[in-house]
Amino acid sequence: MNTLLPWAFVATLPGLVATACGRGPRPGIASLPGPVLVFAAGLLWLLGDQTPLVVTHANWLPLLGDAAFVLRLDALAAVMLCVVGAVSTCVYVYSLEYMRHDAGQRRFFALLDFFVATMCLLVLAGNLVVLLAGWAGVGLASFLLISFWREKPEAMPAGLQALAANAIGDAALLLAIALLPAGAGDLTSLHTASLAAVPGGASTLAALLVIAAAAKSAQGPLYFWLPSAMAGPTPVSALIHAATMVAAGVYLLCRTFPLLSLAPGVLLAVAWIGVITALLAGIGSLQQPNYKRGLAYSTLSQLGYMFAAVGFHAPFAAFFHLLTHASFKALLFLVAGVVIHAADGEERLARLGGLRTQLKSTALLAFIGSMALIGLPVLTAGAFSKDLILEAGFEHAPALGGLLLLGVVLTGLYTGRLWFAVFGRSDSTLHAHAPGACMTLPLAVLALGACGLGWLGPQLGALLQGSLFLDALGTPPAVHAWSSLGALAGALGAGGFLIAGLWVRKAGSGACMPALVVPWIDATRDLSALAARRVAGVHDGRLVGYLFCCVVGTGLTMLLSRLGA
Amino acid sequence: MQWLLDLPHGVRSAAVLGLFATVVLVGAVRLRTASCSAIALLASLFAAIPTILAPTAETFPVLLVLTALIGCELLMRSDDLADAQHRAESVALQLLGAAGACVLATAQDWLSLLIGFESMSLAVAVLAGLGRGVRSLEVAFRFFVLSAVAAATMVYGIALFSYATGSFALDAAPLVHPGHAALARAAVLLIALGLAFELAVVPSHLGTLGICYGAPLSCITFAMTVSKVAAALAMMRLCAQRPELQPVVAVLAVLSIVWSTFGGLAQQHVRGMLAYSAVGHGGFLALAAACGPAAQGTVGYYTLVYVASVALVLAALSGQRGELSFAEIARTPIGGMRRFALVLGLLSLAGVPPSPGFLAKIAVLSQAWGTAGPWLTIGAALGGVFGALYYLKPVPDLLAMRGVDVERVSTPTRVRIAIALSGAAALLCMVVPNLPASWLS
Repeated sequence: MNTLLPWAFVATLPGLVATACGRGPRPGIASLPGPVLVFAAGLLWLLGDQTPLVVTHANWLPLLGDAAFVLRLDALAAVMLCVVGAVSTCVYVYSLEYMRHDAGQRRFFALLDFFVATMCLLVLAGNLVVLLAGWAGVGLASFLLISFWREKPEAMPAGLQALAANAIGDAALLLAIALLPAGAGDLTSLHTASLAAVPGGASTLAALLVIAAAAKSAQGPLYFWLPSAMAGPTPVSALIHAATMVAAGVYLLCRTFPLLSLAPGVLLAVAWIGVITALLAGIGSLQQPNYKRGLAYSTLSQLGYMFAAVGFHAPFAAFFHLLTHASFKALLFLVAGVVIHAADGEERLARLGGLRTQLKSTALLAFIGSMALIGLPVLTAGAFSKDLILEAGFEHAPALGGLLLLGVVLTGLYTGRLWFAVFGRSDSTLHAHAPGACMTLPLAVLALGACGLGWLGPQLGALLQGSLFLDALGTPPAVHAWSSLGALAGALGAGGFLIAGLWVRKAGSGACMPALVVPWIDATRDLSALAARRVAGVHDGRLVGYLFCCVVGTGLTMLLSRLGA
Repeated sequence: MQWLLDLPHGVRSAAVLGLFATVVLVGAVRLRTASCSAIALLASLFAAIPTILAPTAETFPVLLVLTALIGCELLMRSDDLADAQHRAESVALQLLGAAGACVLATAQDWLSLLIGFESMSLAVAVLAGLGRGVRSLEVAFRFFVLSAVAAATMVYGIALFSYATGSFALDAAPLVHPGHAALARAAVLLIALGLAFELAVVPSHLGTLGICYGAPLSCITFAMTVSKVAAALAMMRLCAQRPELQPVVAVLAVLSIVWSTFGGLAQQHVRGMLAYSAVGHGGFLALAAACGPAAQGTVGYYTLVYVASVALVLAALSGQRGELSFAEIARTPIGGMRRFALVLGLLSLAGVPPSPGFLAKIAVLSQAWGTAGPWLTIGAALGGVFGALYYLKPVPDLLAMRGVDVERVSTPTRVRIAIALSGAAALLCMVVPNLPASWLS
C-alpha cells in the first residue's frame, strides 16, 4: 500500500475523466474523491513509519543528462500534500454551490482536477525534470482557470499575463536542468551534485531556482500577474492564487535550501526581495478599490514574509507560515466569494459596505481570518509562524527584521480596511442572500485551521528536521505561543486594524489610498506588442520585400560567419 | 540486379515512389479520390520495404519520411483543392516530393542534396497552387520564386565547393591552396542557407510562412511534415560532416525561435499561428542539428515528436476552410475528439510539460548548453517558453465549445485513424521516451 503513496498525483485523474466525459449525478461530484485521496495519502504517510518513499525510473529520457523519473514522498512532501488535499477539498465542496448555475461547471471541475494533479506532481517531484513537469502544469491550469470566464474582457489578458510571468520561471528551471551535469538533478542532493561542472557553481543554480520561485510566487518585479489573476472565479483564487500554487515557489526554496545556503549572496537577495515585496504589496493592497485585488496584494505581502524567512536562513519558519497562511488566506478568499456571490457579482468595495447584519456568520469567519492574517498572539495560527519569521529577521539582519515589523502595521491596516469596508457597518442597501451549507462548511473548517494550526508547530518542526536539514542550521527554531516580539507585532497589527476601522468610518467603504502608476509593466507590454506587430509585418505578401530579406539575411550571415572565423 | 541493391536506401525508396507517381499521373484522368489515396499508401509501403528488410541507421530517415507521408495522406481531402479532379495530380506531386525528400534526407553528396531539394520544393510549389482562389496561386508563385532563390544559392555554393575541393562529396577536404579553405567554408554556408529554406529557418523562412497562410491544408501538411523531416535530417547530416557550420546554424536557429515567438504573438488565427510555429520548430530542429553528431538521437526524437504533434493539430483541422480566427474557434463546428486532439497537439507544440514537445525541447536545450553555449541556450529557452503564449491563446475557447452541438458534429474515419496514430506516437514519446530515443540513437 505504501508504495502507491508517491503516485498520489494520479488520484484526481479518474475524476477528471469522469467529469470531462459527463459522468456522475452532477458536475463536480465525480471529482470530489480526488482531493480527499490526496489528503489521505499525505496523512497516511504521516501516521505511518515516516520512511521516505522514492520511486525511480532510471532511464526515462536517455537524451537528457538527468534521465530519471523520480518521485519522492518525505515529510515535506507529505505535509504539503495534506495542505493541497485539505484546501482543495474545501474549495471543491464550496464550488459545488458557488458554480452551480454556471454553464461551464463541468469544465471548471475538470480543470480543477488537472490543477490538483499537477500540483501534487510538483510536490512529489524527486528531481528537477519531474518538478518542471508539475511546475509548468500548474501554470497551464492557472492560465486556463484565470481565463475561464471568456466573456469577461479582462480574463484573457490576465491569463496571458500569468502565463508570461510563469514562462520566465519555466525558462529558469529549463536552464537549471540544462546546465546540471548528468544524473545530478535530485532535488534533495543538489548541494552535493558536482557543482564544479556548473558555470558559476552553486550561485548560478541557486539564482535560477530563485528566479523560478519568484515567478511562481509573484515576488519582486514579477508580482504583476497575481492581482490580475483575480479575474478568475473566486474558488480558483482561493485554491491556486492564495494557498497552493503561489506557495510553490516557497516550497521549492525550502526543498532546495541546502543548495541555497551554499550561495549566501543569493540568500541575501531573497531576503531583500521578500522584505521589499512584503512592504510594497502591503501599500498596494491599501490602494485597491476592488475586494479581491486587495486580498491578492495581501497574499503577495505574506509570500514576501515567507521569502524573507528563507533569506534569513529560516526555511522552517517559511514553510510553517506557508501552512498557516494556506488556511487563513483560503478562508478570506472563500469569504470574499460568499460576499461576491451574495452581492450578485459585485466586487467593488465602495458598493459592498455594511453586510454585517445580512451575513453574520460570514462576518465572524472573516474576522477570524483577518486576525490570523494580522497574527493575533495565542489565538491564531498566523501569530506562531509570523513570530518565527520576525525572530529570524532580527537575528540575521536586524534592519530587515525591523522593516518586516513595520510591515505588520501595514498588514493590520489593509486587513482592517477590507473587513470594515465590507462588514464594518450595518446600513447596506444591497440585498445579499445568505450562503448555503456547501459554502459555509468549508469556511468553518478553514477557520478551525486558522486558529489551531499554530499549535502543531513543535511537532511539525520535529517532523521536518530531516527534510529541511534543520540540523545543519544549528538548533531548530522553537515554536512558542507567546513572546515579547510576538506581543509587540500583535499589538501593532491590531492597532493598524483599528486605525483602518476609523479610516473606513470617516471615508466610507470605498476608502483607499491614491494609486501609484507602475509604468514599466505597461511599457513592457506595449513594447512586446510593437515588436510582435513589426515582426509579423515583415510578412506582408510583397515578394520584393521577401527577396530583399533573403538577400540581406544571406549577406549578413556570410559576414557573421566571416567575422566569427 | 546487383547495381539496384547497391543503390543507397534513399534512392531505392525514391525510385519506388517515382514509379508510383508516374502510374498515378498516367491514370490521372480515370483515378478517383479513394483509389488515389490507396495508391499513395501502397507506394509508401512498397518504398518502405527495402528499409524494413535491412534496418540500419541509414534507413531511419527514409522510414521517418515515409511515415510522415502516410500520415499526410491520411489527412488529405480533395475539398480544399480548386477542383476535386486535381486529387490525382496532388497525389502524384506528393509522391514526387516524397521521393525528393528521401533523397535529400539520405544524401551523401551535394548533387543528391540539390536534386532532393529541387524535387521537393517544386512539388510543394505546385501543390500550393492547387488550392481554391487567387490567394493560393499567389502563395504558390511566391513560394516558387523564393525556392528558386534558395536553389540558386545552393547551386552557387556547390559550384564554389567543387572549385575549392575538386569534389561533390559532403566531407571533401579543400585543395592545398591558401584561399581554398575559406572558399569551401563560404560554399558550405551558402548550401546550408539554401537548405534553411525548407527548414523554415531565418532568413529563408518567408516561403513556408506564405504556405501556411494561403495554401490548401493538404499542402501545409506535406510542407510541415515530409519536407520538414527531410530538411532536418539533411541539416543534421550537413552539420555533422561540416563542424564549421555549427556556430552559424546555431545562431540562425535561435534567431528563428525568437522571431517566431514575436511573430506568433501578433497572430489572431490558427493558420498564422501554425506558420510561425513552423519557423520556431525549424529553429529548434536546426539548433539540435547544430549540436553535431552527439545530438543525432535528439534530432530524430524532436523530429518524431514534431511530426506527431503537427499531425494531431492538422488532423483536428482537416476539412476546415479559412483562417480559423481565435475569436470564432469556440463556435467552429469541430467535435469533441478533434478539439481534444487539437488541444493536445497545441500543448505539445508549445512544449508544455509533460507533453512530448516539452521533453523534446529540454533534450535540445540540454545538448545546446554544452555545444552552442549558454547565451544561445538562454535565448532559445526564453523564446521557447514565451512561444507557448501564442499556442495557448485559443485553448480556453477550444475547451469552452460555446454554442457547438458536439453530438451532431461527426469525425470522418480517416481523420479518426490519423488522430489515433499520431496520438499514439505522441503518447509513446511522452510515456516511454526512452524507447524511440534509444532506437533513434
